[in-house]
Amino acid sequence: MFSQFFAQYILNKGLLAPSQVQEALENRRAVQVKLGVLAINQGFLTAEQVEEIHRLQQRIDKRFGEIALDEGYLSEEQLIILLDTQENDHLNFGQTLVDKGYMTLGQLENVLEEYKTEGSLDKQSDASYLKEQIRAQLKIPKNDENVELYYDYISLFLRAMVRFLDTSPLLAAITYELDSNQWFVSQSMTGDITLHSSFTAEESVLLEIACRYSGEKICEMDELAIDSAGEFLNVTNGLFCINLSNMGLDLDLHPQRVTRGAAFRGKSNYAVAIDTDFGRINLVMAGA
Amino acid sequence: MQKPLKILISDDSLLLRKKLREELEKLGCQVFEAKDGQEVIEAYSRFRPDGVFMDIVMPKANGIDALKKIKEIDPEARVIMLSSTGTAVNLLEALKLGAIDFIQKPYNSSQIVKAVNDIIRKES
Repeated sequence: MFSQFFAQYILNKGLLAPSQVQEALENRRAVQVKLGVLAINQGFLTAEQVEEIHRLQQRIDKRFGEIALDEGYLSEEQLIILLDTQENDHLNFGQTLVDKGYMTLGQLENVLEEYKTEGSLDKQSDASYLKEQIRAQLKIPKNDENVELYYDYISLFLRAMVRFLDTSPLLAAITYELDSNQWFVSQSMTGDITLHSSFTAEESVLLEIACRYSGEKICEMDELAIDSAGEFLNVTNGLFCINLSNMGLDLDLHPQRVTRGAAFRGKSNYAVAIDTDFGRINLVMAGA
Repeated sequence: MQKPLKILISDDSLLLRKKLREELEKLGCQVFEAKDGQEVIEAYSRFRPDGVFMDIVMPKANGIDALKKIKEIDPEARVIMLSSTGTAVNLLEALKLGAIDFIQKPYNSSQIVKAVNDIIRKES
């Protein structure tokens, strides 16, 4: 989860192209985070000091840690802390950016610092932090009475994509161009408030969603594919209803529908484009 | 040889029925299926299962209405609600009507094993 938020932050800031972020996300698990990046993240070393050690390594046959100790850049205690550091997904992502040459160590140092400061990661949960990032990026007009609900819903939908589809979704933008020939998966929630939620996707994308959600090998848009795509939305919306129930709002879920061709409901529709490693999904939300 | 436990699954989702059938058959159960809130009532009268796993949001009749009907047919029916809508209202209503458990989707295998054991315990 963490790397996805960091990636979204980098994207929001316009620091890298979406294709670069996507590529780094896909490759991050094969990357080992090096001591230099760990030390920068901890604030033990500056990017300049790490680069100085790298230069020394070209002349001296010693490891990074040994040179850092010799030069007095790191204490033994600090080195032990770094060597004991557990795997950290957002640092894997950061290391990948450096390895691919998309960022220098200095740029990574700056963006990590900003990310921690702006996100106040120690104070906010993953979900609320993600919501703030979505708010910063999308800027849905405040006069819409459901605006907070939409941010909560998008945040939950993205987390559901990570959990159930094993992908790293990236919010692209609010979109106004919906292709009515795409597949359309929809479900309404009514009760104390009304929310119609749906997503549209090309057939190949919907098939991939069906395969990933069901864990089954599905090759064509048959009954199981249609059902699996619908169940993904149904289970996601069920989790959203529980969250609202915990806030004192009771909603009933209506049966989900999966059709070819969109038929949007409600007085105002917000469509948000979400990019994944297998293609684009448009998430559409509407109030009563 | 002990008779297998007869379990009725009621859910409009083909995927859910397929996955849950696989889980239950691994546990040695004999499985029957219903696709909606009307079918499950007919299937209950016909097969008299030892336990039912039932969704709430279903076509024709929802799981809460179906639970009421099944309890009228058999007050001892052992019904486990298996739903994506585990809100406080649904949970309370199902338990008041006599459901023995409420499992929130997505479920995991250990929840199904526990539910089957609960059905066996209530039976003996």
